[in-house]
Amino acid sequence: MANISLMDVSKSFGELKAVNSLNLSVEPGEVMGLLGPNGSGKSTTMKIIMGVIKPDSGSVTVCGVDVGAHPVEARKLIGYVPETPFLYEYLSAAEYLDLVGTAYGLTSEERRDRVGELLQVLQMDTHVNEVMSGFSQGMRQKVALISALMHRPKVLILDEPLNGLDPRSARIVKEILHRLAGEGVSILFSTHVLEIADAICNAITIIGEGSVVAKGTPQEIKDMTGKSSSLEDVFLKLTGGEDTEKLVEALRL
Amino acid sequence: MRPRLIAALSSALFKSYLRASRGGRISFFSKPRVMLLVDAASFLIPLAFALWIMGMVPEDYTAALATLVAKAMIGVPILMTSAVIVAGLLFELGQGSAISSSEAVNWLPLTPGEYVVSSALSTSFVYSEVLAIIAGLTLPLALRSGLISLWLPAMLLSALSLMLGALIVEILRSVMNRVSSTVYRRSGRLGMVSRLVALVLLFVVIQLAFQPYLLYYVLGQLTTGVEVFWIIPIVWPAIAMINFTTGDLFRAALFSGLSIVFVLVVYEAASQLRRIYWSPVPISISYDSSAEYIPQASSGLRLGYNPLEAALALKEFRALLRRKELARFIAIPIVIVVSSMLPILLSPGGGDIKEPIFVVSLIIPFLVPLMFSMITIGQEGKSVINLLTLPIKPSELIKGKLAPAWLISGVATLGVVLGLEFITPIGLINVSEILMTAFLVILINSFVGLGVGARWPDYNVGARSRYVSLTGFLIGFLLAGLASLLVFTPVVLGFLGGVESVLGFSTMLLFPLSLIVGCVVLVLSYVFCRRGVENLLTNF
Repeated sequence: MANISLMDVSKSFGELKAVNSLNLSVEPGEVMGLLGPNGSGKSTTMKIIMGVIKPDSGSVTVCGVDVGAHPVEARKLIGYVPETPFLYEYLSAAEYLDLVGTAYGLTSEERRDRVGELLQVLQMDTHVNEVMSGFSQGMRQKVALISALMHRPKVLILDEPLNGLDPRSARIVKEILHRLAGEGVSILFSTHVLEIADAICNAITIIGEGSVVAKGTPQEIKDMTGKSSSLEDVFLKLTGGEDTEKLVEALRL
Repeated sequence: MRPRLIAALSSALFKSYLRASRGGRISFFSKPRVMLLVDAASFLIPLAFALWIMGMVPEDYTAALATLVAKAMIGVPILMTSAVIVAGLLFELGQGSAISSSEAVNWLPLTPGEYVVSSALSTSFVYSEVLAIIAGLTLPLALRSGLISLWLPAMLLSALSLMLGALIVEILRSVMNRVSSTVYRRSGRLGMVSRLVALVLLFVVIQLAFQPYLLYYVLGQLTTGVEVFWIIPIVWPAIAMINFTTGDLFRAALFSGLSIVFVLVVYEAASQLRRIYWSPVPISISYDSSAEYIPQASSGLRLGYNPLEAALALKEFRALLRRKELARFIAIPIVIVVSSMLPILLSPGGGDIKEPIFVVSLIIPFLVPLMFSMITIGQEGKSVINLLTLPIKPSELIKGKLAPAWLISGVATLGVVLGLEFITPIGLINVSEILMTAFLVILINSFVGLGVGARWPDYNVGARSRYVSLTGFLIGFLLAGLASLLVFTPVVLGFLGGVESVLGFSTMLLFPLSLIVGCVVLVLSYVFCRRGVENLLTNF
């Protein structure tokens, strides 16, 4: 049974159809790359899975839990990194992580062990008692990642999780994701860096204007154009962005 | 409901709030446990003070004191609810997501009810000092007048009313965000202007409603008109207290019980609204249906501004109109004018106050340009980097940044002085002298304000954002006060009369003297301002 399942989900904001009859499932151990141009509905889809945005129609389940009916129960199973981490900037990282750990029901011993090791691995242990308003984008991203991983979730929803990370931290996160997938965690991962998607994901779904444009393994996606192409070429072809050279030529630079 | 989670979240929100209002510092006082000690001190110090005062009050005054204490006990619960709502409107609702928004936790496994209770507890804790001070001040009075049996229920009901106010703020928080986004989406520019007008009106009405004489009037009405007021649930704690004072314990218990039920109903409403508006609706504000890019800054009336200065000025005006946290700054001049004029105009014997009322109007050129120019750099927040990385000359930044301060203060001064001339005429020559000196002071104080704002900006965006550091605020206030005093004194002395016999020279010379002093101070203030801006642009 899929750990994440979206059936015929739609969501509109006024006249804008952000998600349109979307069907998506992520199996245990699967790392699904959710790709699409800006405004294609990736972040909205992720927020719908989190139960943060209510869909107009369709159903969403996480590990069999109906997200619409039991959002709090569903969130206990998920680790989430938003596109822009909204942190309480005037708390220290330790205070914030304490709050998140308490929300996930972790005991203080569990928080100390789990958060401690994640802080150390992501080289944040020396900043743990600093107020987060002074943190760089990468440091905020690391705090958000630790928040998402601390309770050993069964499902990870990661919206551009490598944004702002230095190469070492990015490599560590990639390793962690591989390891977690091996342990049966389902990961839904969005990125605009297609090389990363190619390297990390064992399944890819490309969406455009809220609907699925293509899905399959990275190799299946690459084979869609009928010749050996890069993921970027296929992505641009499928999402209508293949005329980039002509556009740049038309610019009077 | 998980008490541990509620404790953790309310503590986090509280700490976050306190630090944000103190420039992001982790101080000794931003710990909830220390705040309990502060609350204890807030109780004990007024208690000691009131005990000392009571020692000096003669026995004859006991009966009068008892009446006063009874009135106070009735008023405290409703005062607590109203104070928290007012503070909420002024400080809580404009908070950024970095401080207390549910955006930071809406993906966590916590229920809307848990969030609402935590947030309301945090708000109550912030304002608990007020209750502690009132409790400390009123306890000796209640003891002395033999009304200690009223004091305890009054304090308990006041604590309940504090929580009620905090829960109402939670409702306002949800509704205002929703209304804001709905208004924006539906009606673009018109919606934005109507929201600004609504916010400004709200601030003005609330500020005026909390003038002491008006409060006293309302309280008087309340104690004499219980029959009518009982239908308003927010005054149930006060009605319970009225019944405690009259010894009707059944009705006192009934309204106390109803007050608790009302708090629970408000909690439920706040939770339901938080459930509905758990996540902010993404909005895209559209001002024009056309998708075409039309450059705007260089078009239109320039009034001696080059395109860059016009673009900067336009940006400043847009910030004032579009950012709801800046609405209070627009409301402040209106509040200053109305609250300083109203009591004088409504006082008996209005015919004798022509001159004083015109002198009071000078508060506008003193305060308004200073305030708008002091905040103009700090309100940029992190986006100030845009100004610093663009090729902008100091003189261009000064002209662009000060345009709103000049326009708003100029129009306000002109409107008030001409309005007063219409109501209580003092003659065209006097009015012209006042206006010319006032415009000079507007220029001076705007330069002083920008000079201070550029040297001591506060880029923290959050609760009670000042946009200028406390040091800067004090220096700006002192410099502008001194400059205003220097420039206004001659013309005001001439205006009020009697100076010839004291100083021995004609009042005819006083207006030119104001102008000469004003020009000298103007040059000095411009140099102060320019150096501050130059420093900002080169040594960020």
